[in-house]
Amino acid sequence: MVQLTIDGKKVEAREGMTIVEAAEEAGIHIPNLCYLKGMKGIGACRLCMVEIEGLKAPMTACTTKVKEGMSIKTSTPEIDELRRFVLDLILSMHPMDCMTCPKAGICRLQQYAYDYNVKESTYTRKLWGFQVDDKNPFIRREPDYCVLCARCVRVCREQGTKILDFMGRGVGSKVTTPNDKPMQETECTFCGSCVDACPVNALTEASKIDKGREWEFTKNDSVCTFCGAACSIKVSSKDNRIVKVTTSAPNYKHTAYICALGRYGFDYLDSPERLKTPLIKTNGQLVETTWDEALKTIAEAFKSSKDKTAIYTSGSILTEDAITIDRFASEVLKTTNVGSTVGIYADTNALITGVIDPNQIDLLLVLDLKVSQKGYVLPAIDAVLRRLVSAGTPLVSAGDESFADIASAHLKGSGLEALRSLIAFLCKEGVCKDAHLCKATEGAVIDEAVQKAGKLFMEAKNPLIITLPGLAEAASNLTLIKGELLTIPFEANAIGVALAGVAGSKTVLDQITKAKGIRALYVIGETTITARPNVPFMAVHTTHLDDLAKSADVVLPLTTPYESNGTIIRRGLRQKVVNQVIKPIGEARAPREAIEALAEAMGAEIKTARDSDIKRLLKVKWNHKPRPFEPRQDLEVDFKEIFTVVNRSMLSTQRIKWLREVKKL
Amino acid sequence: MTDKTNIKVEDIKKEAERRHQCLVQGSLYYITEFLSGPMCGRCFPCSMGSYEAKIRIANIQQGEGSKGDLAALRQIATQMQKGSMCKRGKDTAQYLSEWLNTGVFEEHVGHCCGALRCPSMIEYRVIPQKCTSCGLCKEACRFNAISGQRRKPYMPNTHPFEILDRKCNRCGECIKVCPEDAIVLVCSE
Repeated sequence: MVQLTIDGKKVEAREGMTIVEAAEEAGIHIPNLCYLKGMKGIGACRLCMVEIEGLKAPMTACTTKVKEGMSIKTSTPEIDELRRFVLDLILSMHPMDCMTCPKAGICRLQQYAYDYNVKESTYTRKLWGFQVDDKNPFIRREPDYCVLCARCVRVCREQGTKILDFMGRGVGSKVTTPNDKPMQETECTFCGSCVDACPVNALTEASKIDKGREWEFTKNDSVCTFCGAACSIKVSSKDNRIVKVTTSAPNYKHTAYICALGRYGFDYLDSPERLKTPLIKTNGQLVETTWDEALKTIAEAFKSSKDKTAIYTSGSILTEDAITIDRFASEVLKTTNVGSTVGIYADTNALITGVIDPNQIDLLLVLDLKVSQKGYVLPAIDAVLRRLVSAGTPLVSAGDESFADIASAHLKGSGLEALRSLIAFLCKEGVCKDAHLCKATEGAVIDEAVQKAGKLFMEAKNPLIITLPGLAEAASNLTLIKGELLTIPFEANAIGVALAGVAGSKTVLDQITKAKGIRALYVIGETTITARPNVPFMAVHTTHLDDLAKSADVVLPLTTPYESNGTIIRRGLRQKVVNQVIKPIGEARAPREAIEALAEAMGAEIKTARDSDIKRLLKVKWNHKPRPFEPRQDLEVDFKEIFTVVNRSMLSTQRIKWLREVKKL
Repeated sequence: MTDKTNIKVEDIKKEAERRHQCLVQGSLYYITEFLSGPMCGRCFPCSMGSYEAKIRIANIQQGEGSKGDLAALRQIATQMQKGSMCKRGKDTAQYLSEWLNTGVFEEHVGHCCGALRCPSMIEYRVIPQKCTSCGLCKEACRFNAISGQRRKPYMPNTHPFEILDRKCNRCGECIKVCPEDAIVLVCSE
């Protein structure tokens, strides 16, 4: 740690930090337009100039590292004059329409112009009249507003999409796509990272325009639950309607990423198929009914089916819901026929991993991780890994060609073969002293790439092995030597669901779809069960009236994660809070509310899941012990197959349909 | 085309001085070459400052300069020197402030080019005392900008020779042909 003084305030900073970062952590904001947290500073805008005692000239705070005993002044008349000069020049080429600008309120330029009292530019008005790109429903590009900070260009490059770049140089240049084409004609994934990075109105969410001003929005942090990446999001809403979704990091951070689906998928909340009241089948037709009536019908059916009742849930329900389901099944129904989509691709063993400190990771081992931004397969994982590599963390990959271009070492063969070779090399070098492991990997091929990867592993202090649940157990053998394992599940709360004991397995699913010994079925959320099994009674608690719901005896309206409060357990056993961002639409209820009411209707009572129950679940420890070097073939499932089914209502909204068509997904 | 981005700023300055006797023209040449060449566009004070400086110098050179332009140029030179990232920007700012200190820019704002090179602020004039009304200049002028009658011995009161500024294209042909050095360039006021 380094001690320094900023504006007379004693500040403690980590070594290697820049002055901007250190000041930000101490709650002192140094003006800047081009700095991006986590990325190398480029010192372009010169607004972050500060005076350092003992140095003749002012320095840029985004490129200068902290030193012991530094004394810094973030504002002097001389520096403020320079800042005013730069702002004055920028404003001379900026459309001065703050009164109608959609970015007003969160625009950095507007903020600094206010702070430094630059009312209008004293310099010559420069207007370019660049064409507006508004041919897609997601991102609106207006280069006339651009301040040339290059944040979007850098963000796009470092995450590996490399769409945006400068055309020209200096004043009058513009940020655009290859060959200046509309965005949908490029390989752009519409992730919107550039929108989050843009300090002005050059890049904005198209859907936000005319939906209100920034200061009218209620902003809540929450979690996106569409896929296993479970990204942190910030949801802006107005009048109980979501206006936009962004990454949750304040002032942007390079590991913050959300994909196009997470950013624009919220349209499904109020699509025409959205269920608003319970429905009950009367004379072959689903008709509206009350919760009481619907619950009474289900309770009666369950009272007679008892342990022959099955509950099947999606893996994106919240942990509190999962605990309630478990209690209801074991205490009220006394049934073991409980399962979830998690059971198809993972089990508890494949999901419970060590606790990871993301700041400490110094090597990434990516095994069989078939993620892709352009293919929309866990895109956030792909983007974040690429950004970590861009920021200097070495990466070793195997079994996944997509990382070969940025890998320090790319190993031949599958992830499992690479794993064996790597351990065999470490045994040869004497780093691995586990006789069991050395024996198990005897004879594995050690080529140049393996040696290189092995050396990187030996040098690293905190390597992180990242893989899918199928290879988790085999990969965990490497953590016996060093490092931690991270498995990426397909659904947001797979770990929470598994820990609560409702993950189930393929056998449970089989039993349900074949209706073996099942008299009644209760389906929660969108699962892989898309057609009614041959069961005498089926209740569906879901968000949208899809084919499965249409064939049910009772349909209950479900809240989406935007409408519920609770937590999920994310990779690395970290609890994440899901905040209600809008009030439930219609009479929608969370799974636990419905189940608690159902238990009551059956004359039973189950305890409400509390925070302490979740804390108990989190006490589970990753057991470090040698495991078989075998991939779990039973867990090898294509991500897309599951994802498209469990998010079917989100994927069929208009804008997302457009995206799927353009991207040929 | 050769790569202009690697040209040294000192070389552009030398070339500017070689090409232009008028400092304002020289500085305009310099800033134009700087912008299309070594100006990398990486930092705001230099890229935006030199772009603005070009506009202001061009203004002054065209005879439309004001005190505001001078103040803006001074501010650009000061802040660019302080805020630029690299030596190229700082050097450019240095040159600019040196040039601004010569007084030539003020002169131009007062509508006079001391080197008599800026077309918008110079005039061609006939000195009546020297003119012999030979008419050679009138023949040489392609723009019909010279009026006057050629002297004839039998006509004592001929119309004197004059240059009509509105028509004059400042080509300088009249000066070349005048045998009496009766045509001169002066600052227009």
